[in-house]
Amino acid sequence: MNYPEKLIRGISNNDFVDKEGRLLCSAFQFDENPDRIDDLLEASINWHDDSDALQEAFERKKNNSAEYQFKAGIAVLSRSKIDEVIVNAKCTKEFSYERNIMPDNKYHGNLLLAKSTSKQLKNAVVGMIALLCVEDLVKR
Amino acid sequence: MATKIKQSIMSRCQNTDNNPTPIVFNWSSNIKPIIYDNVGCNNYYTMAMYSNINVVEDILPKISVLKDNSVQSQTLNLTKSIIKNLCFYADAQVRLPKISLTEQSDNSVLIEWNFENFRIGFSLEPDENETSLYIIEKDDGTNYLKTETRKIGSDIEAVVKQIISFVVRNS
Repeated sequence: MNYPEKLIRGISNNDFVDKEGRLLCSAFQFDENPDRIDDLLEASINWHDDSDALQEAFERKKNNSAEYQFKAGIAVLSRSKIDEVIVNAKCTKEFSYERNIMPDNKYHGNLLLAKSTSKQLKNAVVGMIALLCVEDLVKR
Repeated sequence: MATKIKQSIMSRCQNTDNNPTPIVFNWSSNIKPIIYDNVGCNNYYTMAMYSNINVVEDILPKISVLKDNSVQSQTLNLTKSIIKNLCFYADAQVRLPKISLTEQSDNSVLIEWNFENFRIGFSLEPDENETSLYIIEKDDGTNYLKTETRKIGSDIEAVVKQIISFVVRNS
């Protein structure tokens, strides 16, 4: 499957950005999806297929309310650098990504993490992504 | 000017050892006395003010409301150790970024200290034996990443000493 070079991670609130304006590792929360049968955890992203993808994430409202889903803004990440991290951390079995189009979001995808991944490895990989792969932070 | 301020602080350190009068910080009232009592003496408390003690100011109010007792105790020890070790570098002309604390859904705590080219994280676990550290460094020219992760258990004091030394050298 072809993926664009950039992807977008929404930032739910300002607790996920430090005082220097750097994205914290805790911004990458991997959640269980009961519909999955592959023992992977998900962290939602938008694939930057075109410029509307940024707008979709930035303007997305929470459960059809007036409240923004990503109150703090959005982070733009480099996919090729995430690939570097996966190789560098030797975690090709534990860490990956997918496209997962939703009825209301054609850009939707997930970063994926194996449930069996140790916390040490998870923290290291997410730390590497936060350090190397975040290209832009668009704050609200 | 800086020298005068330092002399003034050092003078207060010496004068207050036997009859401590804590300087009032705008910290959580629950945490301030604990740190003050346990760091060792007023010297640490006061000297650190001159250096980079404010790196922990955002995490202090959060410690008293952590859900897990073991994690709370480890977080407190880590914070005290950071303050104490920063005191040894009171003369270092560096400005350090603030440390962040996030309580996770499993009641563990992730302490993050993020710099331009490296990141340090402590994952403090309810089971202290699982508590771990990561250091991730980026080579600015090549973007090559150097990563170290290890379990630290109860060895926080020794680890923090190394970390603070690393931070000051690389900031």
